[in-house]
Amino acid sequence: MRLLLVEDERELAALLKNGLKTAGFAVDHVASIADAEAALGTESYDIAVLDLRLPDGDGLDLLRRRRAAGLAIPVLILTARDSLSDRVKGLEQGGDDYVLKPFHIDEVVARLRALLRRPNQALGIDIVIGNLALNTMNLVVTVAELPLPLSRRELGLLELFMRRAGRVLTKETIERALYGFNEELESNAVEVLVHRLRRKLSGAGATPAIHTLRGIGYLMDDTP
Amino acid sequence: MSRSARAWSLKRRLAIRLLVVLTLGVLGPSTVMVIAAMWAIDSMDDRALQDQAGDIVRNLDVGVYPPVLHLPERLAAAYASSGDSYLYAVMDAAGTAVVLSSPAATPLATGAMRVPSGAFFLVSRPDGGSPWYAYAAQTGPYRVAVAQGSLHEDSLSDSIIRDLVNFSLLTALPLLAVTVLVAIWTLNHAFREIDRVAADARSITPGGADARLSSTGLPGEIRPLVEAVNDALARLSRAYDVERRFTTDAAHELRTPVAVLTARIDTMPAGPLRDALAADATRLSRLVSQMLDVARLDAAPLPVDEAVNLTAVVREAVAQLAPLALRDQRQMAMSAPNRPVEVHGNAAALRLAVTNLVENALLHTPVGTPIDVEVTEGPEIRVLDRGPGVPAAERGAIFERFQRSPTTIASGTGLGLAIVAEIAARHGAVAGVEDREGGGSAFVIRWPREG
Repeated sequence: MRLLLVEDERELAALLKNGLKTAGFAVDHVASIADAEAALGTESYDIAVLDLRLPDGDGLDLLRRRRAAGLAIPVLILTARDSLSDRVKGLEQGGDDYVLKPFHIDEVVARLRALLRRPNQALGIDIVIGNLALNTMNLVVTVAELPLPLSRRELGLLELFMRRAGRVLTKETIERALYGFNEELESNAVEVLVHRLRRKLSGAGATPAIHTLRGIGYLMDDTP
Repeated sequence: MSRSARAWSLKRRLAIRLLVVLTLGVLGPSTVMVIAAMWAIDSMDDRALQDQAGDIVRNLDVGVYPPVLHLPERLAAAYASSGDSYLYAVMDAAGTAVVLSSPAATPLATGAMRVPSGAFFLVSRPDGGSPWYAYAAQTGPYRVAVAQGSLHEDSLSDSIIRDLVNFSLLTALPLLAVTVLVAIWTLNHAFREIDRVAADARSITPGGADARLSSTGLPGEIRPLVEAVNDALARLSRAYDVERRFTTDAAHELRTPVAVLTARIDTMPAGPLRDALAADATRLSRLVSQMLDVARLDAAPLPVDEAVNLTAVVREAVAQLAPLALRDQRQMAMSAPNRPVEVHGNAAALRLAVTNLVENALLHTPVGTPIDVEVTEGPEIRVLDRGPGVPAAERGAIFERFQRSPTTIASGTGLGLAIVAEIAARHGAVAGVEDREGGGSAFVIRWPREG
């Protein structure tokens, strides 16, 4: 995976570059908007990591310009800004996700992998959590290498959980993702679906667990 | 307070003062006219008597004794038909009445001899009626006296005064009404423009683009005020921009080295030293974030005018922190009424307040204990723990900056609850801590009940 890193802080860039290389990315590093334009113009990248505050301008301006010119790759924004309006602005102007400074390199790597797994990416990809694996292309689920048959809806829910592992999914998020606008929905439809999926996973001996946070939502993680 | 201030509006004051001034302006001259008229009526009576005496003197033939009065026909008829309302008498030097208009004139003759010539005097009637008003004159040896039976004063002056007052009121009342209406209309017109400027002013929010009041259509007297306010707004806006740029710059300058530190620690081999350093970096990072939150809250007023679904905001903040709770083997749950609880406020700030309350609970209560969050119709936000609780004596102080409970063992920044208290205050709500039933603390942000 070829990655463009746009970050002007030398030390942070060096540490990030090393961490990303260790995670298996081929990293090109530039430290200004001008260099980033040049790199994006000549090379073809799979994904970009963009700092917003650069010596020759605002990273958001670069992003808006390149998006307008047809840039389609996922872009992860690194920012020291954390007010809500900045976050909304970043996502509106073409950012796919953002990470607030300071960050753990593991977090950056996890977000980048999640972005590369987006459904609009042509290549199917295996998402693996503990002994549970899901191939997003052929929709085959395995627990400890053994296939686990799931209904269409259970499969949708599992993919949602695995893409957002370690983060809370609210009931509303699940309803929006799995059910159409016109579908009549029992008020406990999500609870029932989660219950069924959880029973099938534990029955098959999967290590990841779905936690219920009453009144908040659900979360999948692999803490045994 | 505001009611009485509004009652004493410019309009009311002007109307009342105009009313007083115009009333004085109308009544003053009328009174003067009435007094002048009364004087004029008095002197008219006097002049009439003098003329009457002149008529007698002119027509008195003194060439014979006793003298003979040759009154013209008209006058003689008038005296005769007056029913003793008009009298005359002529006396010789000895006081003997030589000519009398009628026997009723005898008291006039007697009275006239007791006063000097040219005097006005009263003669009482034998029948006790209102006295005659009389005048004494002298021609040669003869004393001439004339009298009018009833003074006109009452009837005549009354009617004159009534006319004057009627005339004053007829002209003054419409004038009064028109003046007050024109004054109020003029003020209303001016105030409509001022109301518009007030609406402009109400729509100004911190950081909003081009915060200024329009001065078009304003009366010249108000314009300097509006221009001065615009100058002040421009200065405030510049100061606000400087502050905002400072907190943005500070965020970057502070976060970048912490980011470098965190990333460098991540490259260290796993072990107790790396874990300790990572915990230090996390604490430093939280301190920087909270200092920036405090600076941002201090730098500018918080716009608190969006309709906020409290349940949604609290759930979002709690969902963000739930993974940390699970990592600590904690149960975490939230309860809220079925229908949305809405407040006027700032969603981002309220989310920050809830985040700080939950982080506070995560920091200060033992691993494995549950944290419950409630939104109630109060409206209030409650974050409930099963920790050691907060001693009553420390409950006020822990919401102040850098005030940590002396009994605490955890390494908080001492800013989280101060941020909560500040955000609550900006929303007209109050942050506090209470004992939770069954043990632990209840941290509450409570809005006053409406009405």
